Amino acid sequence: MNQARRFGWAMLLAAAIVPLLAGDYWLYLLTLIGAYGVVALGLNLLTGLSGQISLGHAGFFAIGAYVATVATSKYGVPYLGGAAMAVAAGWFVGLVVGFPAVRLRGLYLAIATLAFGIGIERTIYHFKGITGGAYGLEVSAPAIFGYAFNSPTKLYYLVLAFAVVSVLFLSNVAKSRPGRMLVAMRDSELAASSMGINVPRLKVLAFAVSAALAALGGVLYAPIINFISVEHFTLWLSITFISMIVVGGLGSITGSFLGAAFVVLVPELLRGFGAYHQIIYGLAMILVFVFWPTGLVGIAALFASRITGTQRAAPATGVVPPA
Amino acid sequence: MDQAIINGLAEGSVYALLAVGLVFINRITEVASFAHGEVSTFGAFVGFSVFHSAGAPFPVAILCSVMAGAALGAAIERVVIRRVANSGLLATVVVTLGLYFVIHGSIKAIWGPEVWPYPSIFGAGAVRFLGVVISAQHLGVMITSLVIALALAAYLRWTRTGLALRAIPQNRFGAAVIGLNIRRLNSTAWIVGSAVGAIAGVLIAPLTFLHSNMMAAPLIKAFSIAALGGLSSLVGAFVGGLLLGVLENVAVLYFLPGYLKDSLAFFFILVVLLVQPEGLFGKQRKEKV
Repeated sequence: MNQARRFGWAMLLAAAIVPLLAGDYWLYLLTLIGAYGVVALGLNLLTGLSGQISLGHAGFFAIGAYVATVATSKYGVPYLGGAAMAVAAGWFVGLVVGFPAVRLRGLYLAIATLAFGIGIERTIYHFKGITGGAYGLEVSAPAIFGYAFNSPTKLYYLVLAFAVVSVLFLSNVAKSRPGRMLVAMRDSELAASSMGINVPRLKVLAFAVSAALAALGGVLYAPIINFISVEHFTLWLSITFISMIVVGGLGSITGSFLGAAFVVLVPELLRGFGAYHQIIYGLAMILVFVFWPTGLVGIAALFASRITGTQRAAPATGVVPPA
Repeated sequence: MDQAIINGLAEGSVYALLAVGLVFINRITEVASFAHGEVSTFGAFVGFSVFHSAGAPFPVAILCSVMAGAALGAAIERVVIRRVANSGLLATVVVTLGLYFVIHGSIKAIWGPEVWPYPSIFGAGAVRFLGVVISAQHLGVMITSLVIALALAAYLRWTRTGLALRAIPQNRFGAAVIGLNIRRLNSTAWIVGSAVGAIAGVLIAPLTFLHSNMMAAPLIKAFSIAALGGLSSLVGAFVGGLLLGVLENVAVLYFLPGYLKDSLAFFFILVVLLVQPEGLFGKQRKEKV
């Protein structure tokens, strides 16, 4: 526990001093990793801990981005208010999707959430008047009490603050009663329910929390790229979210951010090679499941133990997926 | 209206064929492959290359398509799926999504993102039938998919391998006990299912043009249709495909904006799954601790 805490402080310190070293472009990428990482945290709660597969998280992500943007730019709601509305909208839609999801199992859930994600995409396209459809919306820099986060460095710190709050929230959830209940439910629903766990309620809750985090990710994402349009929120993005948590390490907080980094950095490193980054994503997803079910975080832990010469668990909640 | 129904039947028979391949593989191997559509795109592209670059006659090109699909299916099963088959649902979903990325990216890397016109097997003529004009293309697509579906049914019904393939979904454990070579049959399922998928690709390419993304929407529709039949009913998949095709086209004709055409399937599947979580014809599973 102490080690995990030390690791957390070290990461926070490193993240805090990065803007002194990195150029604007790298800072932009890191900010993007932060926003995606928040989504990955939420998806990890749902898929990593509770074992429900969602192929529609781009939908919640889009809800977050659009609600915040439309509220602030069209209705003049202050940034924090817009963000709160967006997260609340994500939570609410998560509840609405979660209720029927309770009855669906495994692949059916994956197909239904996939349909949901595409439905959101089409909805955005359909209500062009509000969302701008394919033409998109400009996103202005967020401002809190008159202080505008209008440079890459300021935006970075804003996203960092939200990411830290999300990490603290999720690590507390994962380590306490609800987290253990989720894991118990993932491993056997029937056993969990005979232990007195209210499985349907827990499932709906997991869905809502996960959706709220995805929406928060969307809120953070919109000002980073300055501009949102329906093309940003396709099925591809939902699958990319899945690849983040799988490649990073299922059920792991550090893994969420490692996976986000993987997804953001691979296309950057392979710039100019067009389709190749898709091949690399795909290969990574396959290789992880065939050879290394703990993902990047497992590999990192192995290196760490080599260097320090001690056996130590992955710096995370340490939940091994049912592989 | 007539024309909408005919277009619907033609498009629907391609969805049907795609769904049949999907269900065929899933019934026997318990893996629903998100890469199925890319396998068929790959087949269509190989045929296109053989036809255009090598200048082979068109039937040869189509044969190459089918072989390419079958070979890719066999390779997927042998190299990837076999290793994760017992690792649970999440593993197979993620791995087939990974395969989707890999094959999709490879197709783009090899053939580029361009859109190509794809020659039709059936020529450009038209047939007059009961007062309705049907293009040879549409008629050919319908007849071919019907023939393929019937051939598949006959294969399952009257051959020894077909008998074995039918035994597996009935009782997996029992099938292994009586000495069926499950591994080889899994491989067979992937080969046959992927070959059927490649045919679907060849059939749809003249209707939609040939491009790397052409199977994205049809595959999701095929999944919806397959889920209707509980991912295990071949007849359900075929009939569902035809129905969806007709429904889409008729709906667009009367009230649906064109860009929402693709959403109909999802709306449909959401409603069905809400009412009947295991699909219309799926069977309830009992869970044991």
